Amino acid sequence: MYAIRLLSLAVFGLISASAHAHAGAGLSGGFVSGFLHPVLGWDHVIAMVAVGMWGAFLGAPALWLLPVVFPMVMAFGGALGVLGVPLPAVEAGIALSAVVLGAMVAAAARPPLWLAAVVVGAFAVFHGHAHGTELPEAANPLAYSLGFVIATGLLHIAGIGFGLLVRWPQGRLAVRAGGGAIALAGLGFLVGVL
Amino acid sequence: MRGHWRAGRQRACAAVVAGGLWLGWPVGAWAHSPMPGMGSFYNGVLHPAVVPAHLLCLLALGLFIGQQPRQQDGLAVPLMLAGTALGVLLAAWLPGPAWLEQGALAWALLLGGLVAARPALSRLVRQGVVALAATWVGLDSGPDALQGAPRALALAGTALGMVMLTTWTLMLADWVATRASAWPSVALRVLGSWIAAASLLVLTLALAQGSG
Repeated sequence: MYAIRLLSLAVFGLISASAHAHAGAGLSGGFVSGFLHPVLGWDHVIAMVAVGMWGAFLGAPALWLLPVVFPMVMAFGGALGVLGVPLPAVEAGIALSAVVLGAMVAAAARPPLWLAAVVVGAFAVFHGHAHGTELPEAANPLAYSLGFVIATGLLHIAGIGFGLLVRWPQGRLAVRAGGGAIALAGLGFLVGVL
Repeated sequence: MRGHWRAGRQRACAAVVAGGLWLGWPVGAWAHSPMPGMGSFYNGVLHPAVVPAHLLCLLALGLFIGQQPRQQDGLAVPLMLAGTALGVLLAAWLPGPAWLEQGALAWALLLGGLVAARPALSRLVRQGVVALAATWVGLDSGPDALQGAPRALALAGTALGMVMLTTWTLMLADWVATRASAWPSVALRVLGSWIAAASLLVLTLALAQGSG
């Protein structure tokens, strides 16, 4: 029963990946554009899922702290993007986030909470900056902001749902393997083969 | 114990009524009304929902009020009502500068952040935040194109819309606060975080475009 709930949670989060729609003008168009921005970027997707998986691995309070804090730190990065504050190697930083976070999950790393928060927060700035630079061009900036914040949150939920499988021995192996796959994919983005 | 359950059912009924009024009301707003001026009232009721900055602020305000246990702050809801009334009354006479809407976003940022962080605030600070936020949104709701009776009707509708929207959200937060599981409370804090994040981004954009 619990496994069914976890599966539902992961599927619910991954439904965000199937939200293909034409991004038009106005409120709905701005929201759709913002929602699709992280979802259509596979480097964003795997990194955000890894955040959720790592949070589930670390357990409480990281499990709920990361989804609460991450959007606001990401928004800070987005604000830097809106203001035109340059951030070096944004795309490389995003790819590196997948490598590092995936590796943390694969290695079952359990650093102190403050260190995990610093690592995740640093990468959140890169992701936010990438979304924020698109904000001025959005049909409706507020709807766009809500769109990508919500999409990011749903990806976290998907990662948490999958990550909670660590409660079983086989599940723990599956989650660590998933982290390894994410790290490899991140490496592919970083060197340019993906 | 029985009194607690009765109070909970009363609040739940109030939430259902408010939510039903809210969901059902827009149907009337798109139809011609036989009563002169009632179009202004319907538009006023919808106003908080169609201005994104106000919507975010009021949602965050409802979450902020409902997140705290009822017995800790019995004045929060009356202060929200009083602030709403004061705000729309001021809007009836005072022209609202454009930066008021950006101010509503700033309130949404603050309230969303408080919902996410859930710090221990003094009762006075909490009450002040509730009253000021409600007043601000009411003050920014003046319909520039209307004067006289239509303006008054629109503002009356806006006050009703603000109260309905905030009440429904605070009832939801209040219900969540009484759940035994921790997950609903976490979900509320995540909602607050989302509201704060979106508000921060749009505020930054507004400031950047204003200074550019």
